[in-house]
Formats: sequence, C-alpha cells, structure tokens
Amino acid sequence: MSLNYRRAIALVLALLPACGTWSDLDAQFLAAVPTKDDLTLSGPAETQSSPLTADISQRQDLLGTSRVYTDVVQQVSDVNKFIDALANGLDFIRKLPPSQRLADARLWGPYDDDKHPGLQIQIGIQRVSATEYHYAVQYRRKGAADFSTVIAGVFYGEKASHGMGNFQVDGRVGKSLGISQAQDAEAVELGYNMSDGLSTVGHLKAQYSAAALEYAYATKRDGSGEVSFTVTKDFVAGPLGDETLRVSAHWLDSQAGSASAEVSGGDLGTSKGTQQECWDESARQVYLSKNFDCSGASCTEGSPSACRLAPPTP
Amino acid sequence: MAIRCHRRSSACLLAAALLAAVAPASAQAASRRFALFIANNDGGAGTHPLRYAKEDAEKVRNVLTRLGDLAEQDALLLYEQSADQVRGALARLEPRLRQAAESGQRPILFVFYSGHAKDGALRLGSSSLPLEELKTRMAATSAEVRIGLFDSCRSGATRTKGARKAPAFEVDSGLLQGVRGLVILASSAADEDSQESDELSGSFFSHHFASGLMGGADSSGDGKVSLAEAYAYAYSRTVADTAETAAGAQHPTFAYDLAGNGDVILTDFAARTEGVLLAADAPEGSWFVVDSRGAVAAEVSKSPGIERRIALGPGRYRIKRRLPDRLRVGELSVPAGQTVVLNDQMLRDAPFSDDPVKGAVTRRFQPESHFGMALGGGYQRFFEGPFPSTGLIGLELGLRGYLRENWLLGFDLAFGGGNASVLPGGQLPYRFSEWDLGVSIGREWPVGLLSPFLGARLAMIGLSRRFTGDPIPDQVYAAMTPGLLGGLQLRLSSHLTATARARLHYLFYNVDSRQSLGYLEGALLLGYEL
Repeated sequence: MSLNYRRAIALVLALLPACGTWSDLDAQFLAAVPTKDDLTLSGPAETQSSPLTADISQRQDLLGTSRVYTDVVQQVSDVNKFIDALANGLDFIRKLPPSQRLADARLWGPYDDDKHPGLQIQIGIQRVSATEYHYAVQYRRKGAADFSTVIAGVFYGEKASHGMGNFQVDGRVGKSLGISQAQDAEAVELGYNMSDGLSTVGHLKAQYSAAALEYAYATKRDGSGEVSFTVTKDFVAGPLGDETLRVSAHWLDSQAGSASAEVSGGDLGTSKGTQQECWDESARQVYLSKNFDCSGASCTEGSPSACRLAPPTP
Repeated sequence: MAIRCHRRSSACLLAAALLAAVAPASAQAASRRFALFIANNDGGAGTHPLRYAKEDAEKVRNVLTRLGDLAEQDALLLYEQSADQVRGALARLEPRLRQAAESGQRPILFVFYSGHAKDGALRLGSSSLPLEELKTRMAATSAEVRIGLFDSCRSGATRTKGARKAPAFEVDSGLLQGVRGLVILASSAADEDSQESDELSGSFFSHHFASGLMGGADSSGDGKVSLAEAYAYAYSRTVADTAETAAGAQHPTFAYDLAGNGDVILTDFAARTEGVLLAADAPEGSWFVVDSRGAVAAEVSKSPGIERRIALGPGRYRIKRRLPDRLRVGELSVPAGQTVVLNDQMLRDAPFSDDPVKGAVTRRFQPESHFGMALGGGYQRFFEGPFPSTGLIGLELGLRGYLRENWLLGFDLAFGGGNASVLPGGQLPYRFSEWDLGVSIGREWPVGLLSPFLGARLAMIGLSRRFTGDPIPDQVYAAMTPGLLGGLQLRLSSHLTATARARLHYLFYNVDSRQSLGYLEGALLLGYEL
C-alpha cells in the first residue's frame, strides 16, 4: 500500500468522527477488580459493649466480664473498614475511563490525589492471561519520575465476584509517602476466594510494629459465617513478652452463634485462660463458661443446651 | 388528403368524422394485413417503468386478429425487444408484404407501439429507434397503407416553449412530408404524459382504441369500425377520462394521408353474431365489460335510442355501470357464435365497494417527484468487533425524483436493542440499545412493478449499554458510518410498496484499538407513497 493511499485512508477516517467508551476489554479489566461489596464480611450485628481486644492493660477484668460476641463484631467491623479503605482506593477506576489502553493493560492516571495533596496516583491493571490479572496502586510525589507501589494485587478468574485473589499493602511505603499513619500496619495481606459464588473465604494478615493480627473468615451469602482471629501483642506488662489471644466464632443466618476464646503465653506463663460463650438471635448471652477469674462468681452461666451452635474449638 | 390534428382542437374530431363520412372504405376483400405490435415497459435511463405496455399491445392485437382480418401469423408481438430487433422484424415482414402486393392483394401494414418515447425516438430499453427512421422504414415497405399507432408519453403535436423536456416527437411537423399512404396516430400531445390506469389495466388510449374496434366506435352502425371512427372514439373517450386526473387531460393526435385510398376499415363484425348487443332502450352512459381477470375488456359509450354492438369473444363477463350514488352490476355469458342482448334489467344495484374492476386508481406514465414514508424492521450484524447483533425497527422518508428522475433521496431513523454478554456463557451480561440516523442517495432502475436500486448512505450510529450483573460503568459509542445500499422494491399498488433492502456499512472503532469494522443490515419495509 503506497504512502499516499494510506494518507488518503487516514484522511477519510479522520473525517469520520467516532468516540465513546464501549470496550469489552475495559469491562473485563474492571470485572477482575473486586469491589467493596465483593469483599465485605457479613458478621453478627454490632452491640454497644466494649470489645474483648480492648487494651488489656486497661481491663483488669480480663475475660471476666468479656463479651466475645461483641469482640467478634468489632473485629469483623475492623476488617471491613480495612477492606473499605482498600476498595475505595480502587473504586475510582469505575468512575473514569482508562487514561491509556494497551493491548493487555489499562492505566488510570496519573491523577492528583485529592486526599493527599502533593501526591499523584495511578492504577494499572495487566492481563497476564484470560483468567489472571495483576494490578497495582502506585503513588509518587509531584515532579518525581517514578511511582512506588503501595497496593499490589492478583486476581484469578473471569470476574472478581466469582474468582479468587489477594492484595498486598506495603505500609512502609505508604508511611514514607504520608499516606499511612504511624500506627497503621506496616504490611497487610488480604486473600479471598469467591469461586463458588456462594461464599467468601479469606484471610487477612496485618503486621504492626508492636503487634500482629491474623484473621481467617468465611461468610456465606445467606448471612451465616465464621471468623477466627489471632492477636499477638504485649497485653500484660511484664518481662516475658507478648501474649496471644485466639478467638473463633461462628453464627447462623439468624445471627445466633457461639465463640471460644483463649489467651496464653507471654506473662501468663503456663496458665491459659479459656472462655466459651453462646448468644441468641438478639445477641443476648445464653451460655458462658470460663476457667479464670471465678472467685465470688460462678464460672458457668446458663446451659450448653441453650446454644444454637456449639462453641468451636479455639 | 392530409389532415393534421392539433391538440385540444374540436376541429380535429370534426375532420375525422368528415373523413369517415366522405371517404368510402376501401374494398376489404383484396387487402392483406400485417402488423407489428411492439411493447416495452422499460424506457431506459431517465424514464419511469410502465406497467401495462404488453397488455395494451395484446389487447389491440387480439381485437385485430379476431375482428380485423389479421391472421395470427401476420401479427408479430415484440415484447421487451431492442431497436435492432424491431428493425429486423420489420425487415422480415417486407418479403411477405411484397409477395402480397405481387399476388394482387392490397397489403396494409399496422405498427402499434406501447412504451416510452423521448426526444423524437421510441425508447426500447437502453436502445432507441427514431420515429423518423421508423417512418422511413415503414414508407420503404411494399405496403399500400401504413398505419402507425404510438401509445407513448409526450408523443404528439408541437410542444410549447419553455424549460420542459423535449417532446418525444411531433406528429404534425412535416412527419408525413413526401410519404403517401401513411397514418400516424399518437396517444398524446407533445407536452403531455400518456396515462395508464390500474382500473383499466392499460393505458387510456389503447383501451379506448380497442374498445372502439370492438364496436364502441361504430358511429355509423354498419357493423364496421374504420380508422377514423376508431380514432374519433379513442380521442373523445381519452380526453373525457383523463380530464379529471391529476396529470390533466390527454389529447391524442394524428397525421393522416391516405393518398386516395379512402378510410381503412380496421374491424368488421357485421357478419359476426358473437358478442353483446346493447339494446336501444338501454340507459345511456358508459358500460364496462369486465373479463374474468378483472380487467376491463371493453367500454362502450351508449347514446340514447341507439343500439350498440360489442364484438366480444366467447366467455363469461361482468357488466358495470357507474351511477352517481351506486354501481349497477351483473353477469352474462357470451356463447360461441351467439349474441347476448344486454339491458339494465339484467343488472342489480351494488355499492362502490363491490366494483368488479380490480384497483381504481389512475397512474401516470411518468409520475412527478413525490415522497413516501416506510416502516419496517430488520436485523443488523457486525462481521467482527465488540458490538452485538440486533434487530432494528425504523421509519424512513423517501424523496423520489427530486434530484433527478429515478434518483432517490432518503432519510431514516431506526432503533434497536437487546441483551448480550461480553463473555461466552452469559458472563458480564448487559442490556444495550442502538439508534441510527441516516441520509442516503441512490438510483433505481424500475422494470415493471419491480425497482431494483443501489445507493450510498451516511449514518450516525449510537450505541449504549448498561451492565446488569457487575459494577461496571455504562459504556457508549457513536460514529459516522458510510455505506452502500441496495435492494428491490415491489409496487403493490399505486401507493403501497414493499421493499427488501440490504446495507453494507463501514464503522471505525477506536476504543480498545483502531479497527475498521463492517456490518450488514437487512430489512423489509412497507411504504406508502403520496
């Protein structure tokens, strides 16, 4: 094809205005990124009681008056807040068309970050195969050449609501850019699996400078679910280091459920505190059993037969 | 004797009547008749197709072979033939004409033409035959009398000055100069359109000419119809029938020089007992005889107190009289060799809706520019790319003949939509809608009731989709798309048309990548033309 011929074709094409956002690939890229709704955990309804994981140093009545139920609610809520923060960072790609469309990649940005003046943000998604997408949320200071990855993710499947994937958040980079606060986690990993379309199975690990959190959860579309989490932290001041709190809870779609908690290690030495608790549809405790702090009070309240679900093993 | 009739001249009728009165008919026993019937609906470029050219030729041919002493083998019918084929047919007749003359017979050549004429020539499809050449060829034959009857548009006398198209040919401008024994009849004046009638299934002039030959024109009552009688009858009936049409009155013309041969008897049914006899006491006015196909076989203008014969062939007929408030209809059979007396007692009242004649709308040979609306549905399919196939419904406005004759200008609007998915198996489902707004230009080549057409189109196409199961924002696309179109239009009636049409379009897509896409549309439309 001669150059003149090509120019003529180009001229004709230029005279035919065409514009829009209709893109099958855009849709596939967007479908690979999970939304807040995809990841949000559905836990028991919240109550006003103080959670179990409140600073133990301020809770001399450790486990004695605990409310495991309340603690589970609080933990699920905390996880969801974390997911919110992650998902919101990604959500703006659903509001704006990609800035660049490459054969197997889409790039949004760089845009000035309204929430963090002086920073620019960009999000890139790369399709490695028809069922594998990698994406990254990156920041840089205005004027800087290179971006730093704060959130990196991988997704497997054709659409996020029926696939699996994970995020890694590099809190140290976030803190260096001023995105994260000093008390925020230094590293977070969130994994999820929704491949059966009926439930969400996932885990979340957060590493703080003075604590480590690990959550495992499974929630079903009908509202039932289970969660277990481990908090390693120096709850009790002493020479022997951090204590470990393990909590496992599960509940029905009616919200009635049960939980087991165990605190061990650190300054507790060889002793171990355990507690089992059941609650009904209105979050009212119907059964309590513990092995500590029973002086002057019964270590058992109610009957295990009142439990809709037997307490799980911590 | 040469008489030239001018349009709109009552003297024309008078002259023809005088001719019939003073010129005794030639002895018929010694004559031998030959005829060439030429019919062509297609007039080539710049003309609109006719519908009944062949029917006109067959109608006149049937009457002349049945009543006009014209043998079947001497009556040639040339349908949709070229000018060269007409020349060849005329040449093939010459030996037979010469042989008849040499054997002492009086050869008469009758040339009937139903079709288009333009710029002084008969238009035979893509070819043309100048009337001057045809006249010369007719004059060069061995025939003693040559009769040319031309039922064609703008075929008659001197046209007036102005910006209109040139006349087809001029009958009275020296056409007969130097030629003796030649009669030229034309169905209309030079600046007039000859008109067809769906009601008559033919042109007004041919219809009345044939009806006259069957007895309607027998003003003398002698059971014979002469050329002058037939012309006078056809003239008066054609002018009367077309006076109220949208096209205006059509005035047949003729040039007549029989060089002492006297008038020519075209049909003779005096000795035939077969047909219908309108009794003298039958009501005056027009009587229509309708054949089994619903076409008007004969039309007779009945005068009070005068008996009128219609030399119909055997068969079953329906009779119609039109009164101001109703119809009078009836049926009769004409047995072979018998005459059936027809009177009003054989008819009954009927509403206009029971008109036995199919159709009732007159139509011009060459309609002026007009416009129409069409409504239809179709299907659109992209050869590749991200856009789904969809059904479309649309409304179109078509302008015919505004730019040039047989050129079309169209504006169209269409909508479509449906459900689809990005991935197989219904993954990433969405609901989409589409609209199209286009303008097209094209040309049609009408052939009878069919008009194939080709053209080009420029359209604006807009698509939008909403994902129904996933949090993906709505997407849109709009583009100008050039394309080609083609199809076939079938005329169902004078106003209704059915069209099958295909479009092939180019679309430039530039979101995921720069792609040249193509799509095909097929549609069926029902149109109404004003």
